[in-house]
Amino acid sequence: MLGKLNLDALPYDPIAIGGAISLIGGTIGIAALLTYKKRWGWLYKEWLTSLDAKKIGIMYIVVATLMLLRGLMDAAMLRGQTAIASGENSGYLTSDHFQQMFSAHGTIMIFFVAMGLMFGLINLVLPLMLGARDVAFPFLNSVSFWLFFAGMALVNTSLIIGEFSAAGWLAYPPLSGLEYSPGVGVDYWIWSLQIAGIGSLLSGINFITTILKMRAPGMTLMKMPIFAWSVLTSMMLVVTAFPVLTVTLGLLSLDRLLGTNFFTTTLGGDPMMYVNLIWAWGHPEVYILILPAFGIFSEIVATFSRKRLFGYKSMVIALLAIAVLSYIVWLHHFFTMGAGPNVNAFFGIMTMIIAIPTGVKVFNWLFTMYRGSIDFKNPMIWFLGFVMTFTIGGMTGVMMSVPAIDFQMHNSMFLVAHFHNMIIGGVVFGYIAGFIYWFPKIFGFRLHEKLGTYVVGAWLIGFLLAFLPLYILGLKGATRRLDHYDSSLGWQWLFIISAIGVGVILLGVGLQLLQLYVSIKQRHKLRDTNGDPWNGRTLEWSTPSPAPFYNFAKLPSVTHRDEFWERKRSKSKPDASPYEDIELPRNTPDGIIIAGMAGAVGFALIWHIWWLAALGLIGCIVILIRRSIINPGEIIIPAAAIKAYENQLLKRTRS
Amino acid sequence: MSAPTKSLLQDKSFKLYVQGFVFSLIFTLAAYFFATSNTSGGLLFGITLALFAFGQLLTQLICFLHLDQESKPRYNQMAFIYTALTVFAIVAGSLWIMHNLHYNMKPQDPNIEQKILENEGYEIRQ
Ligand code: HEM
Ligand SMILES: [Cu+2]
Repeated sequence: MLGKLNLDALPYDPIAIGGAISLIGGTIGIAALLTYKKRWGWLYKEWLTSLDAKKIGIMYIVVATLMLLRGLMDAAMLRGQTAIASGENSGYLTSDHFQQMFSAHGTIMIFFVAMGLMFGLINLVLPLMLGARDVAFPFLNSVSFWLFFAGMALVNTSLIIGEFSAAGWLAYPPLSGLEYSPGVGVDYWIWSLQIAGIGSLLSGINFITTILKMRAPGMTLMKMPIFAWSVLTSMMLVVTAFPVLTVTLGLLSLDRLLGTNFFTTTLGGDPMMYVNLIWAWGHPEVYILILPAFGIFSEIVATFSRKRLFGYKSMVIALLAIAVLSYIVWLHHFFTMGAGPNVNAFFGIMTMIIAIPTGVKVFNWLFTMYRGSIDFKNPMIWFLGFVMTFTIGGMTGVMMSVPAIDFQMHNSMFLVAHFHNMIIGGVVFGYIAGFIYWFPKIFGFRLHEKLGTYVVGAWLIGFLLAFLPLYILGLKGATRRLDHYDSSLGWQWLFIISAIGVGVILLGVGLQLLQLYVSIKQRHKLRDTNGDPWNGRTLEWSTPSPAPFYNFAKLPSVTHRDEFWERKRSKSKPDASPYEDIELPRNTPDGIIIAGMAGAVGFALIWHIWWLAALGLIGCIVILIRRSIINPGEIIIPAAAIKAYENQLLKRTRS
Repeated sequence: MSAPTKSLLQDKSFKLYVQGFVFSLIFTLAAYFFATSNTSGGLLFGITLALFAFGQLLTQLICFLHLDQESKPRYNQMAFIYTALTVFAIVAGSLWIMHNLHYNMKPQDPNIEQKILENEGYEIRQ
């Protein structure tokens, strides 16, 4: 009846129990608070079933933030372990638990933090920037979010029921095969990524269509804000790369479920094919994450330098070049696994070439700042932190793109340091900067500046402390996934510094939460009264803050690239045309239901509960068919109501 | 916008979807039975399977993605070209890489398993 599931699946060792208890406690705590405040109905009506892209965006960011905390806790446990586990001392984690945490950390950070922040921010601002009222497919958007949520829920369920994969965040066979991983860990990994991955694919389609079809009249592609371009190219990579992931994971699960031999050496399978395929997705994935961050920084640099972006066209070309080039470099992730010199040389050179369009961007930003009157507000300070860390990361990356050097460096702590350099300094800093930048537009008040400066400081110092020692350790020969080392190596002090660095990052995150709290307390003082707190350049700043649920009372028409800036400069009169009725999609719980069933299917396949898997799958299909036949229609907000609401907003602005 | 009240069966795209459904089933089943009934392998075998796959691809493109009926600007066409390019890069690249690996490692060298296990960096769990 319950497949492989039985009471043994509950955690037994103290640390695992601690994890389970904190997860259950947190969930019960939130539920109790909601019940106490009688907020369930509100949560359901206003948020969970909402199809408003801005609300979906906020939900993405909330989930991603919670997952960031979880990922950081994992990281702290890992570095805490290596700080003490030298020589005689074996630390507090068993080797197996260390590997699980390592795998969970990587998986969660990439799929549920970085991807979540990315989709969140895109949802918040993309329609506003394009002068649109919503994304192209609002319902699909909700389905995407809830699939993301279901994947996240599965990963976290593994804390309580069963175990997580210990085969690393990319689960190479044979390690992830039945022989070496007979438990349910790898299955949790597979199904949470499958479900979240389908959500990502749907989002990709949705945002591409939004950009191609929903732009305000007059906004040609070349008049689109550069952030929209970065999203377009990133989503092009999403829709071409995620199917590769889906198929690869699908084959792996066939190996595990049905005993096929795609990736085992018996019967003609080949584990290297898995490595090859997963990186054919994995490399584009890196650019999927970083391109929107580039877009965010481009907007920020232009705004705070009070200048138009230097080299817009070259930026667009660079983005498109990356969208093509990122499909011909993936071998650099396994230079050392037996490919010959020709292959290595080709992929090595391609990897170096892809650094060129990236370098172009850095120069574009610098030229944008050159002779600008730069305003060092928080987002700009994050940008400076980014340039610093990203340049270190870029240089170590080009170093490793030389195959001969990579033979020394692969699989070492040097590599771990390099890619955290890119992913923290680039992706995380970029998304945090974007969040701060657009926060007033969504919530109507700015974040506290001074505390924000401390946050950057803590992240930056913490980051350097945590990862510079890893470069050195890598050069000394420390490998990835090391949970214990000999004391004669003299590595311990470096690991201790690194652990202190993680502590400083945690402090930074704590300060960030404090900043949020203080800003909410002081929201009246920090209020964004005219909708344009930074003297912005693009359309999103032309709406009042917080942006009304219909985004634009009258759809704007566009004649310039920096449309809002030009309007301010030429003191153009506000649009005097009469208000019109606005159609908005009706809220629906269907997204939650579909994702809930998908989650149930995932859980059932993990534990081999076949009837539940079949039931869930049929349920998904039935709901989808019902939804496509019975259109719930739109709600229509009459022009008069809009007019009244807008006047009220205007009055609040003046007072 | 209210949905048109025409009956589903009169709808042209509905017909196309049904056709697509039937064709995709045919190509799938044909490939399956061809592969299971034919154990000898060989070049001709591979080509026939590839042809079935190609037929499947066309079915999907025409019946479900409506690639043939498009107005300006030609976004579908551009998307198609980009996809074809990436598929080509991945397929050709994979063939090249895997061929090269086999050349250097001998087909299905058991060492490769050992190497991955070592690379992934910890003593194998029991
Ligand atoms: C913020 C502070 C962070 C710290 C302190 C941290 C720390 C760590 C540690 C200790 C490991 C294990 C390295 C090893 O022993 O081999 C690791 C691995 C990993 N981390 Fe992080 N991490 C952080 C943020 C992130 C972020 C933001 C991401 C992605 C968005 C990320 C993605 C990964 C991945 C994918 C791995 C696996 C690497 C591999 O396969 O070798 N981390 N991290
Ligand atoms: Cu790469």
